[in-house]
Amino acid sequence: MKRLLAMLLAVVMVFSLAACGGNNDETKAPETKAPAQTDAPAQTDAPTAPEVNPYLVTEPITIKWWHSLETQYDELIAEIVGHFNDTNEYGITVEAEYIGNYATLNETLVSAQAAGTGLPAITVGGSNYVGNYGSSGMAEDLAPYVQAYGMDLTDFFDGMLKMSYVNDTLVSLPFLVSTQVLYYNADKVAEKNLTVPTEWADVADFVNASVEKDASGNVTFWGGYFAGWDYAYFLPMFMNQGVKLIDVENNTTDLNSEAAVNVVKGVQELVQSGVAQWAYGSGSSATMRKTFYDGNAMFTVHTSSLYNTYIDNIAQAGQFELGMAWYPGVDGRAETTLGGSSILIPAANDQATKNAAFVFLMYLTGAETNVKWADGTGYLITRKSVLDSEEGKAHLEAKPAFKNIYDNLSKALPKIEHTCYTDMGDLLKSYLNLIIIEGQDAQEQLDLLVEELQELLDEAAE
Amino acid sequence: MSKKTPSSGTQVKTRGMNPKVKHAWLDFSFVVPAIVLLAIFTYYPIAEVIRISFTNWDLLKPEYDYVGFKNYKWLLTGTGGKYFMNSLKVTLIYTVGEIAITVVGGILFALLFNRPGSKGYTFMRVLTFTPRYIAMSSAAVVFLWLYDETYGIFNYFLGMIGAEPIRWLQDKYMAMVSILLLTGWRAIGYGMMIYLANMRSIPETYYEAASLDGANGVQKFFGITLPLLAPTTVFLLVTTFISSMKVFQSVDVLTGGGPSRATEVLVYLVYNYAMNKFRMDQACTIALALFAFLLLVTVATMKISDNKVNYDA
Repeated sequence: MKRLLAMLLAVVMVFSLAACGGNNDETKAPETKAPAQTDAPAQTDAPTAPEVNPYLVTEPITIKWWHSLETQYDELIAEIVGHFNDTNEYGITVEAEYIGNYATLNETLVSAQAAGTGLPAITVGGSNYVGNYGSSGMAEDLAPYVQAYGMDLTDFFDGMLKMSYVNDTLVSLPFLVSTQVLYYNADKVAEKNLTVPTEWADVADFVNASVEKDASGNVTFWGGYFAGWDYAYFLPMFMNQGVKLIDVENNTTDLNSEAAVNVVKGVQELVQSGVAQWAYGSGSSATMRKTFYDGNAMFTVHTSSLYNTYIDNIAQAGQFELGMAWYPGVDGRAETTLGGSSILIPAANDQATKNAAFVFLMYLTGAETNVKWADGTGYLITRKSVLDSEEGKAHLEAKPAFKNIYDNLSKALPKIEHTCYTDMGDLLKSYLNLIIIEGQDAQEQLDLLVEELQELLDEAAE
Repeated sequence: MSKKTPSSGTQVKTRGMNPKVKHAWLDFSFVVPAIVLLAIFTYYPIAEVIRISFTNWDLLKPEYDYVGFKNYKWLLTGTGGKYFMNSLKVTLIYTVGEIAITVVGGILFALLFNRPGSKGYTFMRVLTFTPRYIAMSSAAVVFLWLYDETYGIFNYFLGMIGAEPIRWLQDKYMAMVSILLLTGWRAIGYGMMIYLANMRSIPETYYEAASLDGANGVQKFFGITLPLLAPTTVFLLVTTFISSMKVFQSVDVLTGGGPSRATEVLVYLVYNYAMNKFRMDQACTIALALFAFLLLVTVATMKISDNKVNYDA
């Protein structure tokens, strides 16, 4: 019986070894770049099986990348993606797909997630949505990948990196990041011998000194143009006054405080007195820009990501020199919020797809590619090392207006992480329209806003 | 001794099936494809919507729990109720506007263009009906530019006559008017064509008899045309009511529900909860409330029309 058992065991061992040998012969994995050494396994006397890194790309694969870069960036995308497809050593082929703006991309992504099919391997996510993707578990936790590949996260600017964390989990990486800025007509500023305000308290004087009217009193040159269609543009006005948009700890808001009311009243007065414009509603962004391009407004409050668009359009019109200034602050406090997009990997994909996606993600956010994005678009450089490199210096020589932005970048903060953040923004946008355009009482309307928002905050806390 | 016909019961009985039952099955087999399609694409989704309304499904998460009537409580007593009532009011305003344009505008244009044989009027009819063929989203994008406060052609014309520019889409009252103008531009031709088709089926002898009695044009219209068009009016009322309660595209493109929720119609509210707040459970609850409301109003309309409208004509 014992002999029989020994023979059986021997047969099993022979077959096992043969199977292992055969497997080794047949598997011709492409040469892969080993990720950086992680924590070394503890040394023991007993022999252990070599640890297999689950994040390695072992086979050629084709993956989809969803993005929101419009047709004017087609060449840039083709160049960057084409370079990756030609040079990556893993046999990864990326197919880039333009889905639409951040809202459309969100709808498509969420639909694919709910349907459980058709998800891309990697996708861009608008900054307003990434928090939801992260908190719901829809976005993959990137920390293990970062560790496995030894990626240096400290090279990203701090605020941008913070934007990538949700509940202390790394759910995305900074990709095309922007912040709010003031575009101004530099020729007019010089002509009128004015100084671009760095404090909100000086904005009203600047607007009043800039406005031009004809003999009938009709405005021919607006003192300023505020972006009212997106709440992101007026958040800094409140933040720098110390207004707590949402007090996360106490689940309250003080958007009807004296400071908040004064901020709103200031803008209301400028718009109601007919020296400044408040762009609100669908298509108002285009109208605001056209007014500015045509040389009919002193400044616009807008996103730094549109710098190239502003330059191109003003150059076409041949009107004036463009200036770009940091958002005005209060008593030296000049914080802004970060916007734009991050890049993330849907967690529902299979591991092989996610592994390939992360390799592409490293390339997209890597130093070499980062400066190409910054050159080709108006988005910011996201890595400190790039800013200090030769390419970074060349970038700033080509776009000197950005120096001021990078000098202040530490003041650009990620948005508040709260379920009601979007509700707060929507309500604010809605009530500001009533106050600033329709001229309703600021305190009264902000009280109503707070009442409505508090209901939502209480409901969310249940 | 009577002969048995091939279709007689005895013969069928020999095959083991009652002829009535056999015919019933045969008839039923013809409607099976329609029932299957309806079951898959209409009834199953409705059942799913009902089921989801009893969950707490966040669209981004694959798992969810059943929470009983929590979403209905939210709709009746929480913030959901407030937004639902606002959207219901907005939607009803829009509905009244669209029905008025389609029915009143349609009948007026039909009266104006009811000139058989005239090439000029045929051309005008085609011109009036053509907007119906243009996709709402495309039309809305064009109207977005027409309404632009600074560069739009409407304000340009207003400026030519010395009028102040209008904030077509930024003013909370004008925004709804702007949406209805776009709707009217597309809907009025449809109403006209439906009325025209029915106007021409009214026998000429009625009008001749009325003329002999000395009736004038207005009397003929109110005494003959309008009553005989009542079934058409009911048809337009019901179909326009249902379609206008589901308005979405024009609102999405032109105003996004703003300013200050002034154009946040019900379907837009559902969309907002599902796609922007990711609360599919609450979106389904609102959708069900809309469904129940539509069902009630449609049944009531049909009941009233059964009693008041003469379909014999």
